[in-house]
Amino acid sequence: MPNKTRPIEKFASAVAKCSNEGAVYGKCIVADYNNVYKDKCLTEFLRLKNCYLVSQVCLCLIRLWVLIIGLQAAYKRL
Amino acid sequence: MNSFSIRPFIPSLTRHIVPLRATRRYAIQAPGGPTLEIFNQQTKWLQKERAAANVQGSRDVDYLRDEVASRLCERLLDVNRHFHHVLDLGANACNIARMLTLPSPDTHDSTPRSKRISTLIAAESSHTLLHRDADLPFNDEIAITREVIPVSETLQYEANTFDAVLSSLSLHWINDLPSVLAQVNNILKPDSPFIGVMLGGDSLFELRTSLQLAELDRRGGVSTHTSPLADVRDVGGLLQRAGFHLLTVDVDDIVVDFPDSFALMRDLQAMGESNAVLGREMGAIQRDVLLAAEAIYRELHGNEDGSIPATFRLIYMIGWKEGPNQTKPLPRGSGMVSIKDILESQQKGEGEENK
Repeated sequence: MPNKTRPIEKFASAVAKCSNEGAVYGKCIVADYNNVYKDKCLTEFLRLKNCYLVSQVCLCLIRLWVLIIGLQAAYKRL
Repeated sequence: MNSFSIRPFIPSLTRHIVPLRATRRYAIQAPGGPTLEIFNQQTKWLQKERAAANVQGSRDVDYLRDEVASRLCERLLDVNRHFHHVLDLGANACNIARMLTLPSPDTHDSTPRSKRISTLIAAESSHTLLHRDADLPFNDEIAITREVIPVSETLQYEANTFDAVLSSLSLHWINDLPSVLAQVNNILKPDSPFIGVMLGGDSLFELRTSLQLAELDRRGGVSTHTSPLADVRDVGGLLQRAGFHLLTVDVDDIVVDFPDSFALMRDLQAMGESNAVLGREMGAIQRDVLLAAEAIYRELHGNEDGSIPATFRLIYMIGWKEGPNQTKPLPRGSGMVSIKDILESQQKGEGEENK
């Protein structure tokens, strides 16, 4: 598929904006990686996920804004 | 005809997707011990077909296969002999053939490496992947025949056919490695080499460990995302069990840096090397796990410049079929010189020089 962004690429670009939260979460897990259990670093993960959700929404809004600007330009040309 | 099979009525492309087990045959007892099935061969075939359907995307990720095929060709050139009839087992996109048409990088000789080879048969189960590069110019420089082999682990060649069998980065998807190696030994002419390379040991251990840690934290358990691989120690035993002689096994690590773990997974998918383990969890991986794995990968293994390394451990194996005039190890107890004396005298010599 040329000209079509795959969902994983959108996901990757949204995740890339949360490197600080990611580092905090990673440090929490790696600090004692022989003893990992479910929800060991829940608070850090939720912070990371919040950041990802926000940046994803931001990306969507930016895309929407670009679309609106484009539509307005096309409308004015008419 | 006592048995009725619907297989001939299914269109040929979808026929591969229908598992071989769906066909009805006579119930026969397979000779030998039961074979352990680890990988789903139909899934692997489908992944390769899908990957190769995107021609450009598939060519972009040939870097690993080309490099490995080139190193394999160097090992073939070490054998000072002309090979008339060579089989490339599991050819992928004929990477070995393309690398053979290039001159060797280590010598100043500018003739292509393929001058030692008369005809090459490239055998691969995925038709699309095999014929992906069929119209490129390198095909005219080497006598290559492409053969699509069925998605099973039985080689349909006569015994004593080939002067050499090569295999690059495809043996790690085979369920019954001892059987396939024994068949390779059977189709080789006497005193001919099998030169193969497979992924093994600690390949992609970074991805494996970070996915495991992420799943433990997010879901409280671990599921299979990377294949079980053979280790260096196993390969020697496997070759010996298949009846090869004069074994050589060596290991080579290639570390590739990626911008993030998603780029690594995307490249693996474009190579057709996605997960095809039978017991894998069906459906897509959870986004929470992916998100956590990316953070852990970066923290646990990441480079200082922000990229992440992925290790590919390659196990090269060379084994010779037994031949009449082949050099053999001397019988046990026939040694007349003590290695201890030689080593001690060398040490003394070095000690005197140092004084």
